[in-house]
Amino acid sequence: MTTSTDPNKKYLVIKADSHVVDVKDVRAYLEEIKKHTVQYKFLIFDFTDVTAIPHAALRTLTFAVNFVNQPNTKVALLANAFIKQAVSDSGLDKLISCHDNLESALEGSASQSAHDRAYLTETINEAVKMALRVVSSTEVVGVPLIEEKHSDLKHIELGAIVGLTGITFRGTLTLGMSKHMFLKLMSKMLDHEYTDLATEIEDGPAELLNMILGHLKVPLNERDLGIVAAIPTTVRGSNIKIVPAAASDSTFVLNFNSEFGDFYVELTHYEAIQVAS
Amino acid sequence: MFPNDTRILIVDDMNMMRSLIKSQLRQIGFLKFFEANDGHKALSILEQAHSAEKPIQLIFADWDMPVMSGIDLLTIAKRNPLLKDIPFILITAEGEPARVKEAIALGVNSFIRKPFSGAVLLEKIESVWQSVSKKAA
Repeated sequence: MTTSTDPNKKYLVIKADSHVVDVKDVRAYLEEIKKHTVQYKFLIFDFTDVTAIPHAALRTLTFAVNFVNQPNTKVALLANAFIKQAVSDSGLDKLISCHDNLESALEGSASQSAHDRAYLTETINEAVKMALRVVSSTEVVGVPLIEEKHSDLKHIELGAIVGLTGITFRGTLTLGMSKHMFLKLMSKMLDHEYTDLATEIEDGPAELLNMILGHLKVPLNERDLGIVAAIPTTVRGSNIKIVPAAASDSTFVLNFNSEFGDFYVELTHYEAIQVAS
Repeated sequence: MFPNDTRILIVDDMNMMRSLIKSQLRQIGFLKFFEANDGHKALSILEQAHSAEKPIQLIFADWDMPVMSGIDLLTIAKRNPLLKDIPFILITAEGEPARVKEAIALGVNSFIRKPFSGAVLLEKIESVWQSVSKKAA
């Protein structure tokens, strides 16, 4: 077995040196994998030179793939036609994507990530637009995705945050806006002029987030993400930045323009979201 | 259609949501509202109103609430001979089939998915009124 990685340490390749991979070899791969799962998000078995793999070794390999194939780690197999057939016959192809070469494996991973990002951006965008349109006849325009950083909108004074968990997902959804925008929105929604945070609207940000979440959960759960939400919490302050306590894998931010001002919705996730096509 | 002086109980833990429903019901023309922020307080209002011979005539309850949820309130209300005939509309942020089935089995009269417009609210109320009237006839 030999291992190699890229200069950015984004992936690790474990190459089988022998032509026959037996149970002992697979166990050795598993031991090697255990050392690296925290460090690498993408693990690749290179079986391109392998010509035989006994059934018992395939079963052990299935165990190894199940160990690796956590929500925050992807796994792929580079294989020739013979090994691909053996993997397919054993059903292991449902857990591992098979590729002819490293370039194809990396491309497949990148295109899945791009698909996930595009889908999530569009779904959040639609959920926010729909929620505000229905509840207050307010049209909003979402501006393009800003990734890997939190919103840069200024004068955020009110917001809400909610924790989310799912089958392949764990994260938070956040909403932030100015007090001016919130009061104008509430005035329109409730048909009453609010100039300050009255008792009946003080939990409004949490309820707004809840409504957005309602629209967001349905399409996501139709794709088997199984998302369950906690109860949203309202956050108040002067020029606040709402940042989830846990370190995140990545953040999707959508800034919106409305007739009352700008606001943002942010989805931060700690574990990879893999959205079925 | 329900008369304008129908006594309506709005149950939601969020002040804003209760205000929103009240505002939309006012625009439809309703005048008499009672409010509770959880199912437990709602039950107490339902019992008091019944004792005072001014029973609640329509209930809107959120599904997800602390202390006692909307579905728990529905379960208790539908088992109580004094409360079981009060039309009950559940409000939910989700439209998940399993939840809908559960509530239908318990005897809910209708659902509204959040967020909703005044027009949707009116439509639901009219539909509940029609089904309740048919049943009474």
